[in-house]
Amino acid sequence: MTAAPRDLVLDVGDLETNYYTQAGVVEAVRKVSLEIERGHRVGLVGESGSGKSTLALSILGLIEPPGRVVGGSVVLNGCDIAKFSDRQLQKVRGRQVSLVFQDPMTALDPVKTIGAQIAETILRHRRIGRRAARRNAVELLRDVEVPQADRRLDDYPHQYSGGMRQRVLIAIALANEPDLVIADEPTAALDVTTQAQVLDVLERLVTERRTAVMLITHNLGVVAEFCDRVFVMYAGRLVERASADDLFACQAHPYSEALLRSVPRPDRLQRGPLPTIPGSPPSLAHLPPGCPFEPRCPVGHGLDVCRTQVPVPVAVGDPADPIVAECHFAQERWSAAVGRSASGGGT
Amino acid sequence: MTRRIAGQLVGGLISILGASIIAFLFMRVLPGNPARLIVGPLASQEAITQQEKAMGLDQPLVVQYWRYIKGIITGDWGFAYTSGETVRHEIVARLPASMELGLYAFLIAFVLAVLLAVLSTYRHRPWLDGSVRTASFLGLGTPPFWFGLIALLLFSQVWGIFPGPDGRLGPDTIPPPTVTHFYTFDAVIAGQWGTAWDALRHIALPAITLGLAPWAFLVRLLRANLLEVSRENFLVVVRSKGLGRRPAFQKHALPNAFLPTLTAAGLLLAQLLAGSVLVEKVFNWPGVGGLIVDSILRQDFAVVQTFVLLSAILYVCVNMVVEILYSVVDPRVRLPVMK
Repeated sequence: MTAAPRDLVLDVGDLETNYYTQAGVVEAVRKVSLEIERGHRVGLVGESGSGKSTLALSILGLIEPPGRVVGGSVVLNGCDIAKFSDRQLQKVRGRQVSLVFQDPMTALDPVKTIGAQIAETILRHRRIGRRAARRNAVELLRDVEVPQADRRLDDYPHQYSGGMRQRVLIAIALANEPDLVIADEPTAALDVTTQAQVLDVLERLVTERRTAVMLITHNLGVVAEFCDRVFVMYAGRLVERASADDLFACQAHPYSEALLRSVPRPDRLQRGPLPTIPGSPPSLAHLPPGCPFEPRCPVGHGLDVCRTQVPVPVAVGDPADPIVAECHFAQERWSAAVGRSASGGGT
Repeated sequence: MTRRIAGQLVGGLISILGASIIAFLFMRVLPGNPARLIVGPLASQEAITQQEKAMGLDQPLVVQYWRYIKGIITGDWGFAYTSGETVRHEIVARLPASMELGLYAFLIAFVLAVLLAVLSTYRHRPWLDGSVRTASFLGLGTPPFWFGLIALLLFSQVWGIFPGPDGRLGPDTIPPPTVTHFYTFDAVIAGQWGTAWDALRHIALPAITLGLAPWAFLVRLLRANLLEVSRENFLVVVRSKGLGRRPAFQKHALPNAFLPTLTAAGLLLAQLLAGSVLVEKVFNWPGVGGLIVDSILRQDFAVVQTFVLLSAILYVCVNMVVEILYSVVDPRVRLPVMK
């Protein structure tokens, strides 16, 4: 660990969120800790149902019953907002931290104009008049590259395409120049070309504003392009954390490796089906006693240690910027990977 | 907007025309001869023919229809031969009573439905929500005339809170000077507070009885829509902008959830204004319901024709207002304007 104090915009410690359903208590986020440095971009990847969105909403304090944040801290710019009342949180949301929602088709109020929905967040946090807010909204729409912004301000969501709506959501999230934007699968619902355009817009804007981003996605291609650091989430835990370069070079956790393998690679097209991860994530209401990935794991499936013992985080690699993985075999896997690349004599 | 309203008007006129044709033909297709009913069972064939001629029944249907339309427009609605009065007199004497009752029933149903649906869904209130759901379930299943009888028995007979079924006013109260034909309004306009109070007390039970089923329907509809909308993603986005729970509910959830209720409320209002036979009978309400039933049975077709047409006009007008309100609330129903 470096001694120099890092400038953290977000420091989440042991965050726990449960859903109290009739089927039992679903532990959607299980003691998750993560840090985001000011201006950095982190990716949060994992399958559907791994708790990514719940984690995002827990940070914003927007978990609705039957869900509840039951423990942990969310330190944003030095204040633990997990202890804030909803009234206090209202001043933080949209101002210091904001959300780009995942599904642009349903994320805008269908009966309000685009302009009104952008101005709403501006007026909520700044002492300016409606006219100024409107001018501001036009600028924001231009920033997210909506053509003819001044005219399209008075349109309604149904008059916008999916990509345009996603730009509007980005405009809303960035309206008050927050320190952190949580982007929950901002491109999942869009076609590939639109995805790239929307991501370019987001990237340009956060670079200009030096905004930190937490990008939630299951698209590892997006992560590779966009993020400095990656957190891999599985069954409510961050099972691996590493810098993006390290993660793509070597995955200490078998789950990360499996995720990466199941990304289609046009440059390495093979015959046969795309590799998938067999099975599905465990029910978060009935977690297995050992490693939650054990039943699906190509490495540890059936091994006693994996079945009975919950793996603790293991740090491997560069001590200044380690890869941390919750796997009994993280050390071995990493050493093997380093050995492979050394003996391979590659670049 | 103007084009939209113009389109509505044309559509409305076509509906009214259709209703007039159906009403006209319906009464003439029914078996039986009104001329015979008027002159009596012992009259000669000659007398019947003469009566038919006097009523214009010997003319071709097209001519009869033309006369009917012309009469409606010029205000000559014909004679109700069972009573000997003009149809206009009969309807003007009775329709306002029905409309006043319908209006109050609607207001009670609508206001209470919105209030209770909002209260039972805005926060998790299991007790209130359960009561509202039970009450609306019962309200939909209870025949209104039966509910009216029970209400009379309890609130009038047993507890004496409301007056008995003696119509729009107590026997000792003189009707207020006519302005709107609505006693509660007219009494207030004339400053006769005692009369206004008496009229209100008389209209309370029948209005509640008549409004029960529409209330139950509206409260269920709005509650379901509110619950559905409250799960919508855009509310998460609104909250992530920093809006509180209540502004998010008021400005975003409610307007979205309200649209189906608006449509339903319009239809219910038109239906209520046109009167209800059974509830009027139970409360001795001098409304239009009884008149129409009697007129149908006696083939007094001038009355029925006119009433069908008037209620068609009423429906069309109320629906137009709803359509216009709808396009104000929901931009998606506005016609796309080519730019």
